[in-house]
Amino acid sequence: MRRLIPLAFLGEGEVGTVVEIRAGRGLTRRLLAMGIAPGMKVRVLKSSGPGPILVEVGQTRIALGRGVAMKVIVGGWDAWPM
Amino acid sequence: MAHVKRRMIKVALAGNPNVGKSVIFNNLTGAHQHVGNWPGKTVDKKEGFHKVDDRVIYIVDLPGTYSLTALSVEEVIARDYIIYERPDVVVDIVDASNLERNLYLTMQLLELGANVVIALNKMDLAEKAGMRIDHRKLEEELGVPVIPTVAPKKRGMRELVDKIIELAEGNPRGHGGKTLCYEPRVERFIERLQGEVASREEVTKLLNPRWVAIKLLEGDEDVIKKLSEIEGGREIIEKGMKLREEMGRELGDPEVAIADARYAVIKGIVSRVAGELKRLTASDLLDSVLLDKYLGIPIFFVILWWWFQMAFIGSAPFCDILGDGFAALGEALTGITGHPFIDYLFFGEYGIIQGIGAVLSFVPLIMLLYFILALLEDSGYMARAAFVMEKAMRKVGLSGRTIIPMIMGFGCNVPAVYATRIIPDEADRLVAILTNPLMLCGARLVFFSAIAAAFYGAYAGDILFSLYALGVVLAFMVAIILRKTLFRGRVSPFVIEFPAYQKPSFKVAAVRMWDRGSMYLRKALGIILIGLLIIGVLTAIDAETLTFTTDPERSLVAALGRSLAPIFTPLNWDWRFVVAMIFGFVAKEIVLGASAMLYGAGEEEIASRLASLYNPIDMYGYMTFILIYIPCIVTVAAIRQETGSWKWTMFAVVYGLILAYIVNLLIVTIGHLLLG
Amino acid sequence: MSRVDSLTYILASILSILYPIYGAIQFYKGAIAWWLPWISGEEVQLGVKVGDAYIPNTFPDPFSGIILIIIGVIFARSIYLSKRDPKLAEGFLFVGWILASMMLILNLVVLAADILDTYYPLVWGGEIEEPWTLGSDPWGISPHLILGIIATPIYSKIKHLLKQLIP
Repeated sequence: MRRLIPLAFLGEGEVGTVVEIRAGRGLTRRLLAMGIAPGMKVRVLKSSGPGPILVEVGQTRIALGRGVAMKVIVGGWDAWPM
Repeated sequence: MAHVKRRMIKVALAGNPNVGKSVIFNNLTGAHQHVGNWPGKTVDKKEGFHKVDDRVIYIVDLPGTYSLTALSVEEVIARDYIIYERPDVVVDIVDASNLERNLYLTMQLLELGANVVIALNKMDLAEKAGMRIDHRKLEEELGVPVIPTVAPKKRGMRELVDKIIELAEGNPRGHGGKTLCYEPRVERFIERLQGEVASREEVTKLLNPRWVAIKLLEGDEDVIKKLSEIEGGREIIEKGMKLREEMGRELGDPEVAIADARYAVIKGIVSRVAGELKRLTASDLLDSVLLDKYLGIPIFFVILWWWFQMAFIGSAPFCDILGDGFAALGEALTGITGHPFIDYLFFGEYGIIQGIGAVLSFVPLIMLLYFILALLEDSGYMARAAFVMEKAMRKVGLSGRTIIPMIMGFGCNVPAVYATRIIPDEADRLVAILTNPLMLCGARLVFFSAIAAAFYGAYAGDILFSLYALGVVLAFMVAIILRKTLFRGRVSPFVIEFPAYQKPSFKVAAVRMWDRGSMYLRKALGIILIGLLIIGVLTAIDAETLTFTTDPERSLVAALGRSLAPIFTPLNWDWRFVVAMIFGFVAKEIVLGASAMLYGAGEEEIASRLASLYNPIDMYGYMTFILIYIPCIVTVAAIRQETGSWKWTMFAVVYGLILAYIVNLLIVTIGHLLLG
Repeated sequence: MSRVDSLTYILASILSILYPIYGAIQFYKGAIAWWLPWISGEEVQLGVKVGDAYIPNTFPDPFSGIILIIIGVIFARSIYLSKRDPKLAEGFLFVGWILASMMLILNLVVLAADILDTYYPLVWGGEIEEPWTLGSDPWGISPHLILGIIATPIYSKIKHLLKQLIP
């Protein structure tokens, strides 16, 4: 059973694969253009407290507000917490 | 003495040699262990106990093996124990830094049908080797629980014990999870034989059908021997050998084929479960520092301060040179035309030449501000700054990216309004545009610094700073109010890409500097000239006779001022303040010159003249009005262009006037109340 | 695996003490000059007098004081991390050096601008109000310059980071 959670809930260092983007057309298009698309692996670089989080998709680094991160649903597979 | 019956759970530890099995064994059993011999063999048998609550976990440390064939004593001991002793749980200790090889044994344990829990050990070494293993994904792939452990540090021991108990009590002797299928060509044979085996009850009581099938196809002698001793076993053996022959004809050596099949599955699993660990690059390191939870914002302020200092102090000599130059030019050309009106208009103290000079004297400052900003943007830092400021900015109703036009607004509001293009959300952008004029621009600084120096002496810097601060604070308040009323609830999605850090290009920066700075220049040379001309005319034409006059009191503009003055009496304004303010609508730089002309004083002396005539509190109030009220006409044009609507432009103008009046009134009233 | 050796950290320790000290002095003087002029702040200086100037010369400016203190904190942070997380400590050292160098350049620009401002009338035969001296300059050789110079040796230890960043 795959665990599906919003990107906002992944912790620092964790990796997830984008499953779905639940957002309006404009935001979805922007996210897609930046590389946050279904099937892409997303790694969380910085996520401390409230405020935007920093993720890495492919070679690109993108900062997302929490609201946006709540709209990106990932298969939340945690990596070993080091 | 009450004898508490303890439930016993039988556990076997299996795994490759050198995976840390003995360490885990020691962790679990501690002093409660005993080393003996496997019956009839010369191999050590380690057994021990681990007590938890009312349970006793009896642990046997099986010999380390790479697989479960019949070829070595150790292997036979290990698999016999699992088959005949039927441990509740088999803990398979897997070395994470050698995943593929270790999983080979795991495959065979699963074939055996043992109740497996995997202890994924040496995770720290795996990471050092650059591998990152997703243990939950491994769990899903294999269908058995996976517990990460670091044996020497005793990490994961508790979780392991919990899982052992959970498995033992919930799922006795059953197959842990899913059946891993091998590739179809091999699987066909296994399934055919498996069916045969499953139909013999005597066999299935003792042995797992699938495992028997695979072993027979492999030609395992030990299994053949065991089967021959069971009722119905011989037929199965026969069938098995036939299939084995068939398989051999089709796929080559069956043992090899099956081993290959196992490795194929393992490779698939590993590829899905393990990933390359990114080496921490310099860029990541820099981001860790610049986005630091505590020092991120202070670092931003350091860079901000540096930016302003460089621009202001660095440009100062050039500003002075330009200012002096044009003043001298104006003086030199005075009287050239012989016509007093033209002379006055062009070369007079508040004439066109002086006006141009005053405007141009700001160009070095603005250019340098934009040049350094462009360098900062090009380096990639500004995206990080927007990120770091986003949380703080949201609290005052603005987006993180708004910080950039806000800062630009301190140079000149015109390019800053155009710069709001970088804010993607419409609501955010509008708020940024509407609040930008509250940023104290260079033009207003002209007026304010002269007044401050004359009126407040030692406090001048403080007064100036308070005006900057007032503008910023009001901007936040207006933003919050706008967010709560007109733009309620539409919080923009914050998405910003971090470009890679790079050495900023001076050329690119120069181009952008020119782009933005020249907007100010065009405004200066365009509108201000026209404005000055109009002012010149209005101030030099007698209101009654409509002829040239050098007495400002009699001019058209004075008449206008006087008629409007009553509105501003609560603010303690002289009619000349009104006039200067009207001129300020054209361009804020003119306010000083206009005042100078209205009082019949030179621009150098006007400040002190005002100081002798008016009270510091009233003056402060006036300055705040100038700070807040409608942006200059060029800014209005920019707002119209960027918002695309007259409605918002008018809104900006009107709310500016109203807010300015209110604040001025408050300051004057409260100020006099407190200070007399 | 860090290239930063203990000598560099000793240097960083010195900076992590000097920056905040000078920052506090500038803040103190600035606060008095800008906001509390009725308090007589004696001419607090912590430097060597050379001619009519102090080296370093602390000038009253509360903001620059805060800036200096922040830079000091950054160096302190790098020392604090040197045992726990050497990689991150290097990062803070790197940023500290960058900021220190930026301040160094700023001070030089200020001096150049002030000199230019004093002497430009000469270009068209005008008069100079008063000649420029290090002592009369509001900044002079301020802590921004001196501490920036002291921070320079750090460059050799972190330049690999710079090269990685900008190939």
